[in-house]
Amino acid sequence: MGFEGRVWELKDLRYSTWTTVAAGTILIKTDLPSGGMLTRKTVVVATSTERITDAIPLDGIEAKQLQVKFIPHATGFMRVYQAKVLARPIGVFLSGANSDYYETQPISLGAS
Amino acid sequence: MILNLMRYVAVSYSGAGALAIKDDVPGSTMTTVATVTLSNQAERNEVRFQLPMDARGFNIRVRFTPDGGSTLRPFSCRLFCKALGGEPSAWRWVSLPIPAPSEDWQEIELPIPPTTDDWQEITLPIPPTTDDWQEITIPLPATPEDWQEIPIVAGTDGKWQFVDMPSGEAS
Repeated sequence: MGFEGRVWELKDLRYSTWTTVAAGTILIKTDLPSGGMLTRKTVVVATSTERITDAIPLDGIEAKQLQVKFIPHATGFMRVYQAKVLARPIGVFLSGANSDYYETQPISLGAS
Repeated sequence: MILNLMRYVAVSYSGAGALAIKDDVPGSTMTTVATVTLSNQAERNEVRFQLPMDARGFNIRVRFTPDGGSTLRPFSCRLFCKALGGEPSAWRWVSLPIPAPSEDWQEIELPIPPTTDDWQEITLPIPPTTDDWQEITIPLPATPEDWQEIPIVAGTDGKWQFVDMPSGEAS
C-alpha cells in the first residue's frame, strides 16, 4: 500500500491472528531509506489456542510504501483477521540519494 | 517592504545536510548570505547558528539540502531578526513556513479481507435421492419355448442308463 508520495513514520503494527501447529512470521517491508522494498522488521508469531490481538513496535521505520507479509510455518496454519499500522506523516523528508531539496518562497519577515 | 536584520537561525531537524539562507540586500537579487552545516542528528533536535553581520533583506528564503546518501528532515526553522527603517522593531523570533509533521498517529487499516461472525449454510455436493421407483430387469436366462428331442439309447437290458440332457439354453 502507498502513502501518496508522502513519507510516513510508522509506530507499530497491531494484528489479530490465530496461529496453530507451528509459529508463523510477519515481515514488514518498506521502500525507505534505500528505495527498494526491503524487509525492515521480522516478527515471529507464536502459536495460540485461540484468536489473539497483539502489537509490535516498528521503531520509527519510515515509508512511502508499505508491504506486510504474513507467512505461516511450512507445517502450520495462520489465520489473519485484521491488521492496522499506526503512522503519521513527516512534514518534509529529503533524500540525498535522490538529490532532493526544499526551498521556501521569498518571505517578508515583516515588522512584528 | 520592510528591511530586516538577521542574527540567528534556529533549525529543528534530524538527519544531515546544509541550510542556505538567501536575502535580497544589497541589490534586488536573491543571493546566499550564509550556509550552515546541519551535522548528523539521529533524533529531532533544535540547533542555533549565528548569521553574518550583513545578513539582512526585504525578503529571505531558505533552502535545505541533504548530504549525498543521507536523509534530512527539517521540522521547523526560525530566524532571530529585527525590522529596520521606518518601522523598527525589537529583536524577535520569526518562524518560517516549513510544513510541520503531524504529531498525531493515524490508524491505517491493512486491506485484509474481513472474517464474518455469521455462519453461512453451504450445501454439500451429495447426489440427490429420488422418490420415484424405477423398473430394473433382472438378468435371468430365458426358458426356450421349443421342445427338444432326447434320443433313447437302444439295447436296454432292464437296467437304468444315464442320458446326458441338453443344457436347455435356446439355440
